[in-house]
Amino acid sequence: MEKVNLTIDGKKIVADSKKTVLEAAAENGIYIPTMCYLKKLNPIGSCRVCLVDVEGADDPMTSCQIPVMEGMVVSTKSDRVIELRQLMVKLILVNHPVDCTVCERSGECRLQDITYEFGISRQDLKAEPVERQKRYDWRLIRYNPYLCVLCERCIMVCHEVQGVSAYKIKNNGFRSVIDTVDEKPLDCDFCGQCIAVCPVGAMSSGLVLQARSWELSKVRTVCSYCGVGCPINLDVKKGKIYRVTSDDNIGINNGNLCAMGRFGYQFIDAEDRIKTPLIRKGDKLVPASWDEALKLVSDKFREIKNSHGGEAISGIGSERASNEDNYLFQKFFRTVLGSHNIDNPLNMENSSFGSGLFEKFDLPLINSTEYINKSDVIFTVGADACEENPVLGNIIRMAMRDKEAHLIVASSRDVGFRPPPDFKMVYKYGSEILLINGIIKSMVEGQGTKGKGQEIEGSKEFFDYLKGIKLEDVSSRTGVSVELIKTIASKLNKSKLPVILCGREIYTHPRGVEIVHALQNLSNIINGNIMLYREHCNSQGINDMGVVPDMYPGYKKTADTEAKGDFEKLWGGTLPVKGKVTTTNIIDDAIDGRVKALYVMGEDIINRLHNGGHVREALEKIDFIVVQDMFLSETALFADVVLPSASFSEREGTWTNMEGRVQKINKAIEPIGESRADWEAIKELANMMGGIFKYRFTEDIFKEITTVIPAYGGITYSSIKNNGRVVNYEVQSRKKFRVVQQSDIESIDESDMPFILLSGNTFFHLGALSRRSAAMNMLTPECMVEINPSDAENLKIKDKDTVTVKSKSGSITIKTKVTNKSPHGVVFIPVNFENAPVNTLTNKKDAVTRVKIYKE
Amino acid sequence: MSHISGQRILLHKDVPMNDFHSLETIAIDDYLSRGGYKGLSKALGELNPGDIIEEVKKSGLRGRGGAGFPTGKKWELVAAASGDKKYLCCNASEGEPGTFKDRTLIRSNPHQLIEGIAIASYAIGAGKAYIYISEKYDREISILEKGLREAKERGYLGEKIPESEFSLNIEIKKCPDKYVAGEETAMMEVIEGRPAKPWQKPPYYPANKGLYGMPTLVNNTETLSNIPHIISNGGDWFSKIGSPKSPGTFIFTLTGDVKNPGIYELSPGTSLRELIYNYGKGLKNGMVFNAAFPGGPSNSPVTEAQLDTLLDFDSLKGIGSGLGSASVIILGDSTCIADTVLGFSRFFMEESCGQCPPCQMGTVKLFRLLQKIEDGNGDMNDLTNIENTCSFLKGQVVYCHLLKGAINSVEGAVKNFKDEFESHVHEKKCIYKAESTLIKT
Repeated sequence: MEKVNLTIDGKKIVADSKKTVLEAAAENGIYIPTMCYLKKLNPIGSCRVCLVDVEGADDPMTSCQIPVMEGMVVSTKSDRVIELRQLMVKLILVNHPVDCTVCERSGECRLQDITYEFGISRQDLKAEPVERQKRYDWRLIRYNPYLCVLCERCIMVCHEVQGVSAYKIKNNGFRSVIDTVDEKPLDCDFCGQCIAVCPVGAMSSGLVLQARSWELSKVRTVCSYCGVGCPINLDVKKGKIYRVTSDDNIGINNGNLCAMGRFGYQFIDAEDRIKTPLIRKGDKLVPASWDEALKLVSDKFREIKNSHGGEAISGIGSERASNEDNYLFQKFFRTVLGSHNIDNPLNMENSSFGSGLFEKFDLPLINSTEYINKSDVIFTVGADACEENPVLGNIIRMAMRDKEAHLIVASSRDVGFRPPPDFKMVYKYGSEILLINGIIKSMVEGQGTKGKGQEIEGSKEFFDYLKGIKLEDVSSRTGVSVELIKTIASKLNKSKLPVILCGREIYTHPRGVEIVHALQNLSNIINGNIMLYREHCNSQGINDMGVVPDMYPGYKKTADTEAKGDFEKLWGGTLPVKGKVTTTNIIDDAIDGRVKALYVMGEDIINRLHNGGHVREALEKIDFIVVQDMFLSETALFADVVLPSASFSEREGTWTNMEGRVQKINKAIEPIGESRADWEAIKELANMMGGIFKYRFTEDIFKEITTVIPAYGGITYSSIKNNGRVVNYEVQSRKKFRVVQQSDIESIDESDMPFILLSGNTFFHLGALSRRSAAMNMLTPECMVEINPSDAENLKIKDKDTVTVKSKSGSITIKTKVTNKSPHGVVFIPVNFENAPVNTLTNKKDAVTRVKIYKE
Repeated sequence: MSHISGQRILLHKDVPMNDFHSLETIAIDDYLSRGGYKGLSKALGELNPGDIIEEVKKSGLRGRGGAGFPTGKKWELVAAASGDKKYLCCNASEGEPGTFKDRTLIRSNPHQLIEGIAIASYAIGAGKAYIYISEKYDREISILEKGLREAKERGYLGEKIPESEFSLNIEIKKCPDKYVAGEETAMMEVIEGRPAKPWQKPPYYPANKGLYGMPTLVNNTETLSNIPHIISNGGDWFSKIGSPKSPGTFIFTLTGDVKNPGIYELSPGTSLRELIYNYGKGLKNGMVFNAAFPGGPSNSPVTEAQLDTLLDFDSLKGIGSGLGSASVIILGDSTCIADTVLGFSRFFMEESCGQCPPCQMGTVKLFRLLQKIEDGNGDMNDLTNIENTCSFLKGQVVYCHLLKGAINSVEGAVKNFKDEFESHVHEKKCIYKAESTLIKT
């Protein structure tokens, strides 16, 4: 990189030519005050607080905007700039009511700080008041124009980072205020980034804060929603969480959060949290003490173990529980109950993307988002990054801004991106493999024998196979034009650092594994990195911890006698012999009467697993059910014992995110009611049943995890304080071509069930917890089925009509949303809404769920 | 103007304001018959870009947008700047109150401008040019659209203009009806689809980093309308017209209390007195001259004693005023200068984009102080306050010239016509207004 020499305040400095004077100064320990400047945004230059004198220029200039130049002589402390900076602040203060006594940002206000720093104690400028309109009709966000200093940070963060561009400056001159672009009440992502970046109290949360900034203590932890795992701060006063904030320059998110991360925390002290253990008395669940409840559970478990064997007790772990909770859960089952019959929802849906991830695929799929930051071409397949993982969307957007990375979006739905992607492919659901093969074909066609990928294992066979593929045929079957396939192939082929991001659509796809194999072929040629989206905060960790029937922690097979011996040595005692006891999965086993007791930790399986009706049926057949949860979920209603679980903010532990990054969650408040961290309940239960679980804190458990799982070796709580640490999975990256053939998805009679049903997450809801947060429900109170306008017209359905969606497995009643996002013949229903549980429609046995829609 | 007859840039005869609406547009055939597009043919056929720039430099042409920067030098900077692409922007936003010259030029002779743009684009190596024109100018926009269509049909624009490898596409961009939108960097923002807000300059000027980060030539409509004549007749010919430091002609927009307001194309050697009394036919309604704003609301007013000042960049600068875009506003003795300046300050207050705190707040402050005085509610402290505010604001860092313009007229008026402001204070009213208007209900 080019370097330039300059002098700042007499100090000779060598700086990268792309830096600004402000950046160069900061790197060399020279302080220049700023107000509107924010590292993650392009310089705005509105406040003029960072003025410096540059030799040869008539007027002082804003150091945040001027690039360093060879031979430049800068003075940051000349009398003139110091006076001008003071005047600028005084000018800003002229119209800023000094309402600090009642302002919620008092104490963390940049204007306050800078006024104090500059020693401005007297205001000799005056202005007459200007009438302005407060905007309190923006739902979660409130804007007070009197406090606004027009720094434009909110506009820029919304535009550059979030890609929404919801704001503008309305009017000009002294009447300037911030308003929404269309001047209607705000309708946006409600990520609240505008609040986070506001240097004063102009933008504030609609959830009125009843705490002064200095009364709040910040507890660093990790967001409990999706698999991105953004570090967040819980701002606590006297045992209550008042807001969620985030710090720039830390973690994967660089201070960015989505709506759920920032506003979706209210489930923590929701009214309906379970506060005491509950025991079934007849058809009622009545409060009980922990001793009573655990005694009952241990007695029952012991009884069943004695009469039916340990394997008759099954357990389902939680993708939202910590590594420590899940580790102890499986250890309890394996060492105390003597059962390998444990599983987790992700693994139950498709084990290839759960416990089988490192076996099934040749290239590592758990990769750091650093790859996105550096890439020049980002190819998302079956992902709706803007909506499903907004922060991942931010990361992509930053690569597009800073590295001018090109974005290619491929999905069976018209998902798009903001800003619009460079290329977009909307393919027919089920034709993914053909499309990817077509792209590869277009790449290698005519490249001769010395072309890319010839040296890779299996290349001859694979390239021979490609010869049989005709792009015209690919085009007609996928619905993507030959020209577009060729353009995208050439774009990917020319890329130096491509990243391929697989979304939810891929790993819930009946051909998901083959699609990823096809993408690996592509990756072999273009030398790209594949990343896999993870839905929940610990979807990766729970599989690492071995909450699966056929693997110990660290993916050691239970069928492997050597591994069994190792774990017996580590844990003491004898482990059950058989690997996978169950033939299919816990739910089917239960229906067949093989499961006598079930212990569900933190999952509402009725609303989570495929075919909710089937799950219900299974639960009815189980003699004894223990549910450990924060809320009385539908699953919990089937329980014989309900154990109140502490929320993520009430305990310690670690989560492993989609990058394989282990991050620390910290306790911010005391557990609500009598709820306990999951591991504490498990520990006590284990000890009551003859186990010897000597763990004082979660750190004790984590230390054991690091000795048991080599990949976690060397990680300590103190080393993951800030940015966490990526697990060293030591995956052998093996380049190998596999011939992946397109095969049509078998499906039931099309004429009866004309629509393909897809499901996924929406902006404001993920998992069961967002539905318990008032703010999120205010934004999206109910879910709707998305249907293409042409299909709607054929069915004589209008927008917001109430319809019945029926599949082979069940039916739900739901309102419609007529949108082009759903292509012809495809409908989309968001998951997680208990009033319209889409999982009652899906069935694991069906490759693809088909539905019909009708108006009653 | 007899001494430049036949070389008119504007028209056969000077056009007074009352004839303004009867102006006929010169059609392409008419334009060609007058020797139109010969300059372009000559440029493309006989000259290389360097020669053209040399010729423009030789002509001594200075920008007609207000700053008077030497045009040839600007072209040279853009031509020398490195960039994958280069752009040309013709600024026809004309937001300065009392200026209608660009409008008149486009309305009367659109092809002259198009030819000028084509020659300039060829000289600097731009393949794309924009005409940035006020959105209010409906009729001029359709005239230009027709002109561009005709030029393209006749092969003076488009892909590979005949007998050359040069291609040029000219696009019309509408300028929002805001004063600040005419500022050259605000124009870049608008063309790129953002709100009109000027940039900080330095470090980057459009000449090195303009539209889409590429070197961009920004010239005023009048400047570019001179180009075909300079190329056809040579730089030497042009340099001999007018005064040596400001060669060529200027198009003055004469307004205010004169009998014959209008658009006049004159040589810069003309004095203010000549413009008012020869061309404007003196003051109307029997008024006596009191003040003139020779460079519109952005420049300081001149007194009767300064009437013999020549109307060119340097002479006006010499007496503390400026030529600006040559909009000359005349005030007779029954017009209140305080009221006039109040109107100007209201204009600047309303037009400030608001991004620079000194301008956003300073323009309001000046307006309110002036209003107080004009209403008869002011005292001598307010007058001092105006002076202090002006000198305070002058030292502030702002991104464009709006604030400077706002200060110039107020400061100049208070300095040169102080007794009139003081009379407002002493009389506690504006004596120019009839009593009845002062009754407050």
